[in-house]
Amino acid sequence: MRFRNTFVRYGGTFACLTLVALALWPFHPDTRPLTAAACLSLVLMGVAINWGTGPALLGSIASALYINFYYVPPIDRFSFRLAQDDDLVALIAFLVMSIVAGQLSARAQRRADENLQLYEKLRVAFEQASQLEALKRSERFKSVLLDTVTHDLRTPLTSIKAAATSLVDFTQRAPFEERNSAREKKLLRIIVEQSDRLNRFIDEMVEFAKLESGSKKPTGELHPVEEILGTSLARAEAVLADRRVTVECDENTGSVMLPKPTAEVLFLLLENAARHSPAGTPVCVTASEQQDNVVIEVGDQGAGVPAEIREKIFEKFFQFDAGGRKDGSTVGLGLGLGLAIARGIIETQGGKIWVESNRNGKPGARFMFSVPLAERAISTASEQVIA
Amino acid sequence: MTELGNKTARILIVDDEPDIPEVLQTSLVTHGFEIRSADDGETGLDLFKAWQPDLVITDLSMPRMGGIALCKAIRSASAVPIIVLSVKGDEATKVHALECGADDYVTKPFGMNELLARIKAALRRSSRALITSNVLRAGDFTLDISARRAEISGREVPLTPKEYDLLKFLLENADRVVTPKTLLMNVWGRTYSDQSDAVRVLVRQLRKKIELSPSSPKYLKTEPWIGYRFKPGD
Repeated sequence: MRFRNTFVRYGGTFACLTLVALALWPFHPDTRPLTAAACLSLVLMGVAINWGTGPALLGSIASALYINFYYVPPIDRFSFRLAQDDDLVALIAFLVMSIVAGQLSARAQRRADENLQLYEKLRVAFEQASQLEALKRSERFKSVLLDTVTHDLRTPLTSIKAAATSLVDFTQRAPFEERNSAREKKLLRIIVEQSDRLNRFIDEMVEFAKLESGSKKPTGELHPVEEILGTSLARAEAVLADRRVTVECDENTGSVMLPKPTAEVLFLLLENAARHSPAGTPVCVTASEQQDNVVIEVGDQGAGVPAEIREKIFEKFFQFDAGGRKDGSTVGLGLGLGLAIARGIIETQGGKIWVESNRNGKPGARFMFSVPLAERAISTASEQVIA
Repeated sequence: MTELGNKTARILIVDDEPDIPEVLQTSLVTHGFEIRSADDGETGLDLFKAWQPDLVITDLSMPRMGGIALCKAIRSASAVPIIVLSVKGDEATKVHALECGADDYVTKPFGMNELLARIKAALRRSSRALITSNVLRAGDFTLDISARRAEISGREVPLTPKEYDLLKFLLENADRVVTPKTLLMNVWGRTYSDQSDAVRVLVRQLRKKIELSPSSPKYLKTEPWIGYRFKPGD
């Protein structure tokens, strides 16, 4: 490869020079040595820049010989003597030019190489740094995830196992007639509730994993606002059991179409409201149209969200309890993923999610999201089909 | 109709997860059902032919023959009610199963009370499927088929022809989950099979006429992401 490269450089030099010489040939009797020298100089400069000093030097000698051979007076035609002083001058000029051009080109090439190397080094360094950062983050992320998952999965599982083994124990020890059915019912209720809780965690993790892996593309499936509201409220029925829930949505807004995942968001906001406001306080859901957006709002009467963390609460694993638990425990607070999932879903749908404080200085938070209006349910075409 | 009254109803359970048939069997036997189970679709289908159950409960994803294929195979030979077990988030498969002949679905993990209610509704439906007189009665609803008139609790409700067709189909399939596509095929005919908007609008119109509070319907309920379920009342 290297040999071939050398061959190309030297061979190419002679080929170029020969081409110029041949091009000059028809004009030979009329051209002066100066013209030939100028043309050859150009070629040599090109050679020096592209192929280096070596071929250029050899080319210089060849050029000097060529000029000497063809352009000295007829008598000495076939002699390669340096007949005249200016031939020597021409040769020196050729050589000097070749060397200078070759060196300049080589230096420029070195600079470029150096820059390229420097750039490459920087790039690698940056890459390593960011990989390290990502690794650190994902390590931390994994450990937090593992902690919360094991904690939050194990807590309900512990209750289930304790309750179930107690029941096994009861049935083994006491005859059926003597069993305390109230106590057994309580244990059974624990099993049911805690398995529901486990299931909710699994749902949440699945939603989260979908968002993280980017597989949560905006779906084309659209449903009317009233169905979105109805579905999420039905799903949240258990967590909202002790509260008065009011829904405000006029018939027009109710028929507007929204992407299906917004129901998941609304459910998460309802769950969030139930978790962070005192038991028994009302929750208010409002759907309205504002310009080309549908805005859905979930209002609670909890302690509200302080202004400085209104952005932060949408980050994953961020947990905040306005109630200020005395023991500092996070039991019942969830994974700290709900609002992060909600934001993730809303963003893939091209919408916005945010939190404001309650109107008129009343306590409580208003979580809101807006999604671009997709289309109206009732098109004139379908009206005709029904008639 | 009296067949089920005289003998215990037979339920075939098809699921490749062995714990589920076991738990269901333990519980359903105490409710007076006779249970057999199979751990894949093919064995399930063989057992179905040999044992002639009154109801089939099947999982959707199973090795060899899946739940959908089983639904199709059973439906091609029998009208026996089928309840499919599915997981959350897989609505497309549920809809597909319903359109391939399943009557109802239950999402895993489910409560036994929920499954029992579905089983009883499905058996009730299949036992009254052969009403031949000119009057279709179910719960609070009475339809006079020849006069195309509808009454709710004795009060006549004026309906447009399309609304009447929809109500009749829903009554014939009471307690069953019906998808918008099924409604389009049966109420409109095949030509409109892409117009799920039309179904929504017609459902809204019908609700305004038959429901006391159309936004929280008592009879014509929405089955989230799947379709509708008509509960004619007791």
